[in-house]
Amino acid sequence: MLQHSVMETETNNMSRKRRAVYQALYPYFSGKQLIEAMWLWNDNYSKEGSPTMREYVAQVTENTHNRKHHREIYNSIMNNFLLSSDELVDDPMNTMLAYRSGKIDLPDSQSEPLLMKVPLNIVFNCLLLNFYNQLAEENKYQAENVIKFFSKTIHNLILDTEKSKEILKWQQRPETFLGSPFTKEEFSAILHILYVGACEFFGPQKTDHFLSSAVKTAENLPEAHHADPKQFL
Amino acid sequence: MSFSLKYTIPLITILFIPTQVFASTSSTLTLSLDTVWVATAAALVFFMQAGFALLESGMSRSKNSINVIMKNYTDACIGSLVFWLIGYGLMFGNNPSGFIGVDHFMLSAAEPFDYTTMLFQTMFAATAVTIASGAMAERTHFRSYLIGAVVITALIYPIFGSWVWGGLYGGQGWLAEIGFIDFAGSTVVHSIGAWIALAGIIVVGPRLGRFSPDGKVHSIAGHNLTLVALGGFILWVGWFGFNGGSTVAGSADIGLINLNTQLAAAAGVVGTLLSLIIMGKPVYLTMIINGSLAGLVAITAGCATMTPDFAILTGLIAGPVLILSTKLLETLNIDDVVGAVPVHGFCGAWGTLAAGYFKSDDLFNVTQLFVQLVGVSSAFIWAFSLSFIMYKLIDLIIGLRAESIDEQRGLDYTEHNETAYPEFQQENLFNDVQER
Repeated sequence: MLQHSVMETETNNMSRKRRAVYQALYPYFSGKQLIEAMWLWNDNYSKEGSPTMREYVAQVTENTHNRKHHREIYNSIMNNFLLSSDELVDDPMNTMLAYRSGKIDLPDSQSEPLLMKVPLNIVFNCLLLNFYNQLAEENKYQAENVIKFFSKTIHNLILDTEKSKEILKWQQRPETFLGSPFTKEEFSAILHILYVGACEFFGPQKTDHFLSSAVKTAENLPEAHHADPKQFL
Repeated sequence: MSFSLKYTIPLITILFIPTQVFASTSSTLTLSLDTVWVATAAALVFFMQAGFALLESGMSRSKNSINVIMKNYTDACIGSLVFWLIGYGLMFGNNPSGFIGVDHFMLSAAEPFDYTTMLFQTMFAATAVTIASGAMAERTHFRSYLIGAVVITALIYPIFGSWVWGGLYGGQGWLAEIGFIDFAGSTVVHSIGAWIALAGIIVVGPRLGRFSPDGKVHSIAGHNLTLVALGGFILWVGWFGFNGGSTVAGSADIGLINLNTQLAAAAGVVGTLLSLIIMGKPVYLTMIINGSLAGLVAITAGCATMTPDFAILTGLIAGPVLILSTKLLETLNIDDVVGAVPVHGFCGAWGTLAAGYFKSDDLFNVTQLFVQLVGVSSAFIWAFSLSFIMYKLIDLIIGLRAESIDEQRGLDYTEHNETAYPEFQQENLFNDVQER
């Protein structure tokens, strides 16, 4: 029984680490490059300690245009190792397995540069999460009212079914990441509706304070170099 | 010609010349003195614009402080031009009907003292129009506010003014004719400005989050109470010109008028303080400053016709009037950022009633009180209804209320692309302020 529990913890830990590495890499890599970099980590570095990460980053960035981002990628991995599970993207293992078994064919690089889009998602989610968490810490009941207000208002804005699903998922668990099919303008609108709701239930001054604090937190992310959180305000 | 006649005529002539010269010199001197005093008083009244700007800006959040000052600055300018163009004629021109002046528009060829009067009255018009800016702060479009300012100085303020102070060049306003007393404008200037502000804040609605759906009132503290206090002091100083200058002459009455002004302001603070203590409420600086303004507004109507003891009583009662009317607005979910409606509206109305009831040579005259009530009511009906229609039309045509995203960002950024305190506001603001 104990052995089973230890094994489960180890698996979870491995998954969390993989998600951390994936979250750090995908602003810089895409398509095959990204998945192959993930397999490299999975096969050769996942059981090693953190000090080997420098070597890993050097290896994946060698002979690529990301060589100049070597330091940022390394810092991002180290930073992501410290994040809680809720703050990380989903485990990419299914995609990795599908790729290795030939079930999916990935392009060498994707049409939309992930370097531009992914940091946007991470920074926005960090901002949103931090903002919401502060509201919930201040008053859980009123934070729920804010989400109720949000769900009443958001549907005037987001009409797309897939996006609506993501929104609905997030409303049910606002302490988690919001999925990523949104544009920058939609992210801004989502944040603004939440802001208006927070003003209604917490008053504008507390809301401004929480939002400023969330912006500061998001600015400390390595991804904020590519996506300034103030663009969502 | 006899000897006596030969010498008597020149002698009489010699005796009379100095008297005539003296009479002429004396009237020139009086005119000069009057001009100097009224022009100085006009400058003091204009200085009140600085007081309003500081007070209103300090009571607003830092992200809206430039917008508030811009409104103060520009409405004074637009108000001056529009009042010269049309307002002065409507208010002070020949008034045969008792309801509106019909000449002296675009004053340019007049007696020297007419210019002085116009200068002084222009400052009054600017004061009336700027009252709304503070009440409607933090959520009103700049351009819409300015259109409102044009209509106020062109029509709403001067037409009511003509009912009380009109007929400078012939005729008389109907309220003046029935004996309405408003020496320096508790009603004509302050209440009119406040009822316009009330209409404005009803049409524009409360600021985002001021009142919760569950009925909770969220107080929204101003960003700089030091500015508020300085603004309060400047307004107080300016009031000596506002009330003292309303003699429109360098007369001996100025002493009593300005003493009453000082005592009522002080009593206003004490009245507010006592009311807050009795009601078990915290004593906020903003309320204390508004208390002094409440006393000042209240005494404006009767500062020349009351004895100092009644001036103190008038100011003292203005305190609770301020507190209760502030509470009333909150209960009705009406969001007045600076408390302009309680200070200028309710206390102006109270002061106007007091001016009639506490008139030193006709104390406690109920008929006079009724006349005052007619004046106060007609001011409310005229200013509120007209400005309500005006703001509704502005709202329908170009929009009065800023978008909620503008409120989130602050009107300094969205309306003027500036920030008041760039060194301290970086964490709240947007990275494209300069590039936009």
